[in-house]
Amino acid sequence: MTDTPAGIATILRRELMDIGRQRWVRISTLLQPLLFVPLFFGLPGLIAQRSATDLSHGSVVVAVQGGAEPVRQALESGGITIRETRDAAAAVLGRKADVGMVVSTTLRGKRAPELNVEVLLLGASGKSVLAFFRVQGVLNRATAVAERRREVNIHTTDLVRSPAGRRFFAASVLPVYVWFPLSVMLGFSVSTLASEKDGRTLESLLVLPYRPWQVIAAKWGVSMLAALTVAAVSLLPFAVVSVLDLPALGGRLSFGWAELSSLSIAMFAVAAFTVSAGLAVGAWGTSAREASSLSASIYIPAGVMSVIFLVVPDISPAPALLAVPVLGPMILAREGILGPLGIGAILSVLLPTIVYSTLLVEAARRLTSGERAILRPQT
Amino acid sequence: MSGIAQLLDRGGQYRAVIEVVDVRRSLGGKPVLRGVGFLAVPGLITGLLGPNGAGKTTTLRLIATLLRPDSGSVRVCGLDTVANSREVRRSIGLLTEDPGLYDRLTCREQLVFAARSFGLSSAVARRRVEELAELLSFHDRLDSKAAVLSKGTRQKIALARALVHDPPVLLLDEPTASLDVSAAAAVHDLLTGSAFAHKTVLLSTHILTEVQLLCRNVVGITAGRVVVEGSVEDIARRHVTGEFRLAFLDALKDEALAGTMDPPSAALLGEGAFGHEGSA
Repeated sequence: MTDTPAGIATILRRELMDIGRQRWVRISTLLQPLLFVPLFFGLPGLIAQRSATDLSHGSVVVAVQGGAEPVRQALESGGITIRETRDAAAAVLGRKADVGMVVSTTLRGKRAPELNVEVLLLGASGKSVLAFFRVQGVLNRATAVAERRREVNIHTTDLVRSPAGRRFFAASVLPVYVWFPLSVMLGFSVSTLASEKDGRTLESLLVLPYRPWQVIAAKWGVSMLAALTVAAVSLLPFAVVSVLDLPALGGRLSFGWAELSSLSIAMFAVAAFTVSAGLAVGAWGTSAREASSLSASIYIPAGVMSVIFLVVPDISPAPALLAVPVLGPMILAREGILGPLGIGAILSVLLPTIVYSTLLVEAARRLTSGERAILRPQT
Repeated sequence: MSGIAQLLDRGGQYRAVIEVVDVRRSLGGKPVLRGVGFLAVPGLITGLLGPNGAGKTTTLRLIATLLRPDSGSVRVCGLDTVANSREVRRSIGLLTEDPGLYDRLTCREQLVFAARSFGLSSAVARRRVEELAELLSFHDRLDSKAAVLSKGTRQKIALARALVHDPPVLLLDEPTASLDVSAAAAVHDLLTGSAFAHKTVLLSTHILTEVQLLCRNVVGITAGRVVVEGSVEDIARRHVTGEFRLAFLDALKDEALAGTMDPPSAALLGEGAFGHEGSA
């Protein structure tokens, strides 16, 4: 039995019983994503609202094209400052701006001016994330003002529903959405091995007639199940918000099943990396505490980098997210550094495969090497 | 000639099941075993006796295939522990000093898992667990989670786990070190009972009285080296008083004088040198 995959099933069943009875696993698997989701959806909306009156941010270039004077007056009377008007559209297109918003108006007979909005998204720095929400805030505010004054009909399409907005979210915001819940699972996969050391159960496990790959495969399997549960719990509210067209992210989401499928695949890939890295770190540390410190040494800098890219203008998020093999090539591909998207997609598969394999082989090697890291020093 | 060697010399009746030959092993760059060698035969409890840090646990881990020797060889049931590690693991039961139970699993779940891991069918595994619960008197705790068990019961469960596949070889690492006197006595009764009659048992301990009580053959180890080997009676006769304890300590002092280890401290040479039966 232990020579066959059924041997893995035996370990897997035992692992599932064990983790299923851990309160913190249940909380982090089910509750944490549910708590995170409202934060994720609500915070950008707040940013958009608070930023709506301040468009002094250097690279948010708002260009109002042709017949725009009434609109400009309407926006300014609403407390909105427009830094550039009229002929600035060409400048927007010609410069390395993060977000460009081209506003044009048309006058139709006796009706009030109709405002059409086109949003251009250029670059991918953290600043563009904030700028994106600010622009959304501007539109929300302008719409409110216009409705009150009835001097202009502003037909604003929520940015996240525009083609450019969807690309922007798929490339920049959703990876963050994927990453945060699953980062919890790193700690979990670390603990599947490290807790065996702390609980002194590893010796009795390793003395069973399993091959090392069976032990690793079972632990990988149970960690993946937990990670994918987190992913599913995280995706569910996202899908509900998107399908029911509920207000979120300072606007309205309108993702189709294709985008949701892509997101699911991305989540699977990130989960696979997280779990593999966690197992390798768990095999490396001599205790759960040491393993946690090791994993923190990897992810705290990445987290700090993420915060920096969100706050500091003109810093790309790529360095922080390059730590994640799946997202790194995606970002590089999007930035054009890797050439056509096809090559980026291939690398997105190849690089993680190499990294996962290396990590798992290392975990298996350490599991059987009998080095200090595996068995507590005791003579 | 050692006690075991004498037994083997008689031929036919005894056959070495555990053979440790000139094994050296370093951990973290520090030599832990420096040429350890001994034999163990079925039907006898062989005591691996030595102070803390002598290399007893490392020796057991080598026999249990958890570690590989840097040099020398270890054979169990005629199989090399490096070349045939999985087959060796099927033939041994290991009881570690710490029971190493999964706290959130019930005793039954842990034992069934171990039994299934050794290839027993579900029905056979459950029947075997019931048998062991009767034998070791923990039937009333079978469905309790390990976290709520007393130390003595935990040790019983760990012992049951080591026995669940009925292995011919048992490796016991300080089985009574954390038990109170009555629990330790229960383990002693079990080890001298019929369930162990035909097994090859290697008992690692630092408790002299335990060795005197249980072991037919003694391997004295200190600083990674075997310093004395033979029956309790043979070793005791080496001292003018005929006391096993003093004879064993003499062997330690001889090793110290040979310059391979620090001399035993006054505390070590006192009454509590290796602890008492049932003490930690």
